[in-house]
Amino acid sequence: MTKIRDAILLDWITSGLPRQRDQAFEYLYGCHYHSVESHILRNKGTLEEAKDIFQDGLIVFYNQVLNGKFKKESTIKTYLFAICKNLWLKRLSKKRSKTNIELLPDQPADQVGIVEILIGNEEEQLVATLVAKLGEPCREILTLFYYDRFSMKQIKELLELASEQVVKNKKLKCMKKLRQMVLNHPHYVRELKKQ
Amino acid sequence: MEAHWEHIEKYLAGEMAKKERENFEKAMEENEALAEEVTLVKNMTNGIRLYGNTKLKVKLDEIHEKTIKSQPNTQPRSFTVNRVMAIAATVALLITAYGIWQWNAQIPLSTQALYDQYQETYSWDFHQRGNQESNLGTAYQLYKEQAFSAFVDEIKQQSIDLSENPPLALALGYAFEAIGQGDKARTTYQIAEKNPLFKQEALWYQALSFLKEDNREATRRKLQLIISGDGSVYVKKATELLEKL
Repeated sequence: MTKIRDAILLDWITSGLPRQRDQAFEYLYGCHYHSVESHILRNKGTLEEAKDIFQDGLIVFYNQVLNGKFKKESTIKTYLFAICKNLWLKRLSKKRSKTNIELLPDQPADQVGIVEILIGNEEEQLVATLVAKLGEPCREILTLFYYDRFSMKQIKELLELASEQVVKNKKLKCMKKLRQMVLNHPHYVRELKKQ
Repeated sequence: MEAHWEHIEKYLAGEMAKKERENFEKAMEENEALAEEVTLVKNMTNGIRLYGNTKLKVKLDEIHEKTIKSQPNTQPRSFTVNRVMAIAATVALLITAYGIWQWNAQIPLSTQALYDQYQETYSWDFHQRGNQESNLGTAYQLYKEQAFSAFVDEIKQQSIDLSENPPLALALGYAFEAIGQGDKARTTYQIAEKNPLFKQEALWYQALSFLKEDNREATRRKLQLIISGDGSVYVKKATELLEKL
C-alpha cells in the first residue's frame, strides 16, 4: 500500500468531498485496523469488539479533526491508537464496574470526553432518533452542515442547489421542522421539566 | 425566538467576541425563554451529530467489509522479508496452524465466539409486494441505518399485523435483539415461524438469540427443529453449528 502523508489525509477528511473523505477512511482502515485488533484481542476482546472499537475510534477522530481538537502534535497513527486504547479501557472498566475490580487511570486532556462524542445525553439521543425520521433532503442538509461541517458553498455544490441562499433557507426550514418535532415529543418536554 | 438562532449558533460555536458573549450571557440570565432556546438548539445540533455518527458507522461497516473481510491480509508491510526468512516463517506458521487445528479439534469454541461467527444482520427485503404501498418507508430507512431503537418505536406506533408480514416480524425481532431485548426478539420471531415459508429462518434467528445468551440447550433444540425440516440453506448452517456446540 502506498504511504500517504498525514497532511494529505487531513486534507481529504476536511475537503468537503464525501468521496475523498471515504478514501481517507479506507486508507486509515487498511493501515491501522490490524494493530488495534491485535491490541483488543490480546486484552480479552473479541473480533466483533475490535471492529466496534476501531470504528468508534475513527468516528471520534473524525469529530476531533472537524472540531479542531486534533492538534497534529502526534501522528494520526499514534493519536488514533490512543483513542481506541482509551475506548477499550473504558469499555473494560464498564464491564468490570459490576464487580468493582478496577478504576480507570487518569486520561490525557485530548482524550477527555471521547465517549460523550459517541453517546451524548438523553435529549441528544432523542433528537438523533427524530433526525432519522425527518426525511430527505432535510436529513442530508442538516448532517452535512452540523456534522460534516460543510460550508453553504460546499453543500450548494454537492446537492446541486441554485445558490447558497437556497441552502440557507432550506437549512432554516429543516431546523424549524426538527424543532417542532422535538418540542412536540412528550419525552423531551418531560426532560426539560426535570432540569 | 427563531430570530435569535444565528446569535445562538454563533454563541454555541464559540464565535462571539468577548464583549458580545458577555452581553449574550447576561441576556440569557434575564430571559428564561432565551436560555431554554439555547439549550434546545444545543441539544438539536448535538443530536444531529449523534445521528451523523450513526450514518458514518454504516459507511465504516461497508469499508470493513471491503478492506478487511474480503482482503484479510491487507496489513501494510513496511519491510521486506528475505526468502530464507519467508520459508522459515511459513514452516513455523504451518506448525502453529497444525497445533491450533489440533487444539481446536479438542476444545469447543466459546459461545460468544460461535455467536460472533454466525450472527449476521437480518436482510429485510423491503421491496416485496405490499411494503412500498404501506407506511413502512421510514421504518425501512431506520432499519437500513441500523437505528434499531428508533425502528422499534416506529413500528410500535403503527398498528401492523405482523403475522401478515413475516419479513417485518423477522426484522423487528432482529432489532429487539440488537437493542438487548432477547425475550421480545424470540416472541417476535415466533410470529414469523408460523408461516411455513419463513419457519426455518425464524428458527435460525431464535437459535442465535439463545446462543447469544449462552443457552446452549435451547439453541440445540431450535437447531434440531431446523434440521428436521425441509432442506434449505438453514439446514446446512444449523447442522454445522450443532456440531460445533
